Amino acid sequence: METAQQILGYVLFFVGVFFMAVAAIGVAKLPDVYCRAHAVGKATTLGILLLLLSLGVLVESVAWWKVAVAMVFQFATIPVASHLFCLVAYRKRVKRWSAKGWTRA
Amino acid sequence: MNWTDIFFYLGWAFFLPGLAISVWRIGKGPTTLDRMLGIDLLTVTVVALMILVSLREGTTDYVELIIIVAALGFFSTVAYYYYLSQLPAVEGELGEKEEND
Repeated sequence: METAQQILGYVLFFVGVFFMAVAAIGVAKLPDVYCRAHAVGKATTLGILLLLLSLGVLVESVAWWKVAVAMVFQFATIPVASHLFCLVAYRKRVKRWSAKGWTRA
Repeated sequence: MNWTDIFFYLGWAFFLPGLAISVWRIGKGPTTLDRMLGIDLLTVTVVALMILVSLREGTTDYVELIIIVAALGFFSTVAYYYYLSQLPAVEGELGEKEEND
């Protein structure tokens, strides 16, 4: 029989896997590089944070400080990388998918 | 077949298509930025698979490895974009197709 902690860990794990799948679908289907960078930057950050939380909740001999360091690192680096994609794409005037069709940024 | 096994195989079933999509995006492009975005997604999915294996083993000993792999992906991204930002702006240099107009 599962304890409440295990059920919490499974729910966190399932939601994290869901957000990782959302990021993969976004990278496959969205039209231009700005939209794809948005999908990677938001969905994978949330997904990885939830997966690390579920790792901390489910493992008995957990070292919480290591999990916390990993969470802080992921939370700092994935959005920065995503913003770098958009920054360089904007500076290089990569074409953008907008309501008026394909335009230069 | 307990709950741990079910969630382990569920994670593989969702992360392997993620790996396949990122490799497909690296191959397809259409710009260089898209390819680098595919590498970024590949790194993040590999980190997620490491978390999955850590859950299966019931240990947090691999969290250092997670941090190292994530740092490798991030710093390679930063280095590549620093290189790109130093180049002068040339129209269509990133391999854009013109039929999107």
